[in-house]
Amino acid sequence: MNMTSASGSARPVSISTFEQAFPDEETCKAYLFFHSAGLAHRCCDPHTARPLISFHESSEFWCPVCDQSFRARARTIFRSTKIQVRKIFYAMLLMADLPGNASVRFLARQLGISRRSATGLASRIRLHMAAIELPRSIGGWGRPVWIDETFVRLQGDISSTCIFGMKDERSLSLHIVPDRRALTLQTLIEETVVSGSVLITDDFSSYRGLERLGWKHHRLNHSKRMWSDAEGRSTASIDLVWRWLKRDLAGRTGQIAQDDLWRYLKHFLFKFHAQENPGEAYWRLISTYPPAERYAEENLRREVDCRWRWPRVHTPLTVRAKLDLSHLRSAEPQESRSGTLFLSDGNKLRAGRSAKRSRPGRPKHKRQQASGRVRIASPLRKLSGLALGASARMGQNETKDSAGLPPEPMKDDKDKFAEGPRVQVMDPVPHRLRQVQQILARCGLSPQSLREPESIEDAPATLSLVFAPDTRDTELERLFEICLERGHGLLLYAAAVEQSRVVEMVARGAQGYLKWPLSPEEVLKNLDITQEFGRQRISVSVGQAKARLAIGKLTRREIEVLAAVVEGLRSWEIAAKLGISKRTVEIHRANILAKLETASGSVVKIGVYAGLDQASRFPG
Amino acid sequence: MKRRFTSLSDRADEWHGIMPDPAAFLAPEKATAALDLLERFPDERHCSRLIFDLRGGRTKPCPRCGSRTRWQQTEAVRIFQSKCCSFALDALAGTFLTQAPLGARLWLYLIVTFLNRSTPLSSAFVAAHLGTDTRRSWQALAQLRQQVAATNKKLFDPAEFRRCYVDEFLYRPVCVPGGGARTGIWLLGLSGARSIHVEPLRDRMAGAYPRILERLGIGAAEFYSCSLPLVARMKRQGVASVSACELSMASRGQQLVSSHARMRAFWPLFRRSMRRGSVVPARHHIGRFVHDYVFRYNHTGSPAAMLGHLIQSLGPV
Repeated sequence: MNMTSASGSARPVSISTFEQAFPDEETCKAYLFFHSAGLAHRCCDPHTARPLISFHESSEFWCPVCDQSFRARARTIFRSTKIQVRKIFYAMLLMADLPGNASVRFLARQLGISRRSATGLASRIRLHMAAIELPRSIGGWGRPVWIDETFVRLQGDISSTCIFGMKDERSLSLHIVPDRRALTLQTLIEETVVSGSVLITDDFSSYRGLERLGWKHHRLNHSKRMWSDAEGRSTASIDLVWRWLKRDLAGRTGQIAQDDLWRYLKHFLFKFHAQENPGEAYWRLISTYPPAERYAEENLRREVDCRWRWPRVHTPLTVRAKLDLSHLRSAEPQESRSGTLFLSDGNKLRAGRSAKRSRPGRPKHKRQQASGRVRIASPLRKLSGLALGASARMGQNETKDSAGLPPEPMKDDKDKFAEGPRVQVMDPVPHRLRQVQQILARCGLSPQSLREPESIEDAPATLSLVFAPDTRDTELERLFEICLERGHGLLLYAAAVEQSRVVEMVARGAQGYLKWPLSPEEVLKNLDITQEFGRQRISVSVGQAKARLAIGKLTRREIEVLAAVVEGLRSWEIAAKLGISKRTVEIHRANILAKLETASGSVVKIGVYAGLDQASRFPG
Repeated sequence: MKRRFTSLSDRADEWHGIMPDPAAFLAPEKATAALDLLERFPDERHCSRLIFDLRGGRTKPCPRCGSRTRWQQTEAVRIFQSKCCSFALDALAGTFLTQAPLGARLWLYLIVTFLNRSTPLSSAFVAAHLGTDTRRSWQALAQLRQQVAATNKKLFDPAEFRRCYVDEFLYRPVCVPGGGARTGIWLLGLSGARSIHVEPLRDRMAGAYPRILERLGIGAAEFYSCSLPLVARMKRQGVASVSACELSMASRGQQLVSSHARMRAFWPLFRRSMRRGSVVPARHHIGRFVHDYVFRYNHTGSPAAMLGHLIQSLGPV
C-alpha cells in the first residue's frame, strides 16, 4: 500500500485500508520506528548507507555495521506499553473515527485486551492527540469569529465549569475559564483572535467594550429573541459546537474529573479539526511523534485550561460578609418616612419584590398583607442578608424605586451615612469628587475625601478601600505604594478603559478597575474584594493570634503548601509550584488538617488570619 | 454443468485444521475481538465457510439424495456443493446478511463491532469505518437491529415472567415529524426472574396492555408495580400494588426486590446509552433500538454469548 497516496486522501480511513496498510505486526513496527526515528535513518557509517535490519518477533532493529540495536517504540509515548503496535494503530483509528468518546469497555473488547490496559492505552492516545494538536490562532482580516461560552458539570462539581470558545470557518479554540468576567474573556480574545477579525457574540455583559479595544464587533441580543441580524449574522455556528461537545461528553460528564477535562477538550479539538480531511488526520496521528518534552502534561493542560492564570478565591462572598459585617448582626432594621429600610448603623435596605407590587391604589395580596415579609434586594442582600436573616419585617408604607436602584439619600438621613463603613476618595477634580461621594453614599458607604496619598489613615476603617482616578502620573505611583504599605485596597476608575491598562493595574495590585461614570451596581460588585481586606482588620486581634499559634505546629513545607492553598491554587498547581508530586501535596494537606484539627474550609480562614495570603497578594 | 473446485477446499483435512470448531466460536470464553476476527479470517472465503459451518452446514446431509456428504466451496465463495450429487447451497441465503450489499467478512466485522459497543452505532461511523456510503451502512444497521430484535423475542421465555414487576417510562427524545419538544413514547417494562423485556406502547389505553401481554404469552402471570396509575390502568390484569417502602423493607434476596431494582436501574441506563450513541430514532423505529439495548442488557454478565445467540437465530443453512 502506498502510504503517501493514502495520506493525501480526504476520505476517512476504512478498516480495509487499514488492513492493506498494516497487514501484520512487523509492518506496524517498521512504520512506527521509521516515523519516530526519522524516515532517513540509516547506519552510523554514511558510506555504507545500509538500512537497518529488523528482528522478527521482536520490536528491535539492528544495524549490521555498527552493531547497534534500536527499539521501535523507544521515542514514542507508547514506549512503556506492551500492547502490540497494530492494536495501538487500530485503537487510534477507532478513537479518531468514533463520534463521542470510545469507551474503555468497547476498546477492550475490540482489541481483545483487559480493561486496565485499555484505560492506559486510551489515556496515552488522548495525550498523543493533545501533543500533536497545536494551539491555533482564530480569524483573520475581515473574517468572522464566533465567540460564546458554555457550562459543563463534572465529577464532584458544586457549580458548573465554564468553557469559553472562539471559532472561525475552519478552526476552533476552547478554553476552560474560572469565571465569565470581562477581564478574563477579553484577555483570551486579545491573545487568540487575529486583529482585524469581525467578532460575533451574544449580548452578554462581558463582551461589552470590545469596540473600544479596536475590534469590529456585532452583538446579538438573545434576550430580545434577536437570533440573527439584518445581514444574517448569528451565533448558530458556535452553538452547534456546544451541541457537539456536550453530546461528545454526554454520559461521561458525571465521570470526568476536573483535572481530566482538558484531555477530553483536546480530543474534541483534534476530531473537530480532522473533519476537514479525516484521512489525513489519521495518518498524521500515527506518523507524528513530537519530542518527549511536548508531552509534558502541565504545558499541554495550560493550552486549554486557563484557571491557573486567574486562581479562584476560596472564601465565598457570604463568608466574607459574615466576617466583615458582624457588627451589623445586632442592628435592628428601622423604617424611614420614605419606606426605605435602614440599619441602625447607617446601612440601608431596599424593599424588594413585594414592595414593587404595592403600588398606590392597588390592594396588596392577602398573604403579603398578613405576613409583611420583605425580600432584601440584591446586591445589598448579599452584604446584609446574614445580618438580618432571610427576611425582614416591615410595615405597610414600603415604596418602590422605579429605577431599580437604591434611592438617593435624603438630607435628613445624611447623619446616618456618616456612621456607615468608611471609604476614602482621592480625586483632584472637585466636581468629580463630589459625584463619587454621592454614588458611594448611595451604596451605603460614608466616603471621606483625601488631598494627598500621605493622608491615608494608618488605622483603616472597616472597608479599607481607596477610590482614585487612573491619572497615569507620579501621584498614582505614590498612592499605590502607600496603599500597599498600609494594607488598603485601591479601586481605580477611568473614562476610557483599555484592556492592557486594566491588566497592568490589576497585576500591580489594584483591587478593581471601574468605568467612569461610576454606577452603584459596579461599586457594590467590587465591594466583595474589599471585604477581604476588612476581614483582616476586624479579626486581627483574636483571629491572628489564634491562627499564629496553630500555624506554629506546622512544618516549613506544610506552611508553604497552606500559603498556596490560601492563594487559591489547586493540588496540581501547588505541586508544579513547589516541584513536588501531586500526591505529596495531598499528603501535606491531610497532615495540615490533622494538625489543625479543623475542616478544610477553616484551614483557609486560619491561613488568611495568619497573613499567609498577603505574601502572594503583594509580591512587591 | 459441474463447477470447478478450488484446490484449497479439496484438501479437506488441512481445511478443517485451519477452521475453528463452530461450537467453540459460538461460546468463547470472552467477547470476540474484532481484530482477532480479521486476523483469523483474512478473506471472504474463510468468512463464508465460517458462516456455513456455524449454520450447521458441515454436518448437513444432502437434501437431494439424503446421504451424508462433504460440502465443497466453489469459486463463487458463498456457494457450497455436495460431492455426491452437486447440490448447491448458499451460505448466506435466507438471512439478513443478503439484505445489504456487504461482503461476509465486513458483515462479521460489523456484527462483532455492533455487539462489542454498549451504545448504538451511528451509520455515519459505520460508513466511514467500513468504507461504504451512509445509505448502505444505514441499511445494514437497520437489518442488524431487526435481527437482534427477532433474536431477543426468540430468547423471551414466558416461564421466567410468571411473577414479574411492571413499570412504565416516557422516553422523550423521539423524532416525530411535526412533533413538538414534548413528544415522546411510553415504554412498558417487564422485569422477570433473570431478565428484562421492554415493549413500546402505541397508546396508554387500558386495552393496549392485555394485547401486549397475550402476545408475549404471559397474560396469566402475577404482576406487581409501584406505579399507581399503571396499577389503575392494568386493573383487568389484577396488578398488585407494592410500595417502594415495602420493597425496601423486604429482604434483598427476594425475586421481586431484585426485579424492581433491575427495572428502576434500566431506564436511566437506556436513556444514557441512547444519548451517548447520538441517536434520535423515529417513533416507528424505537422498538428496534429498545430491543437492541435489552438484548445487550440481558447479556451483561455474558457478552461472549451474544454472538452465538445472534448467529444461531439465523437458522440452519
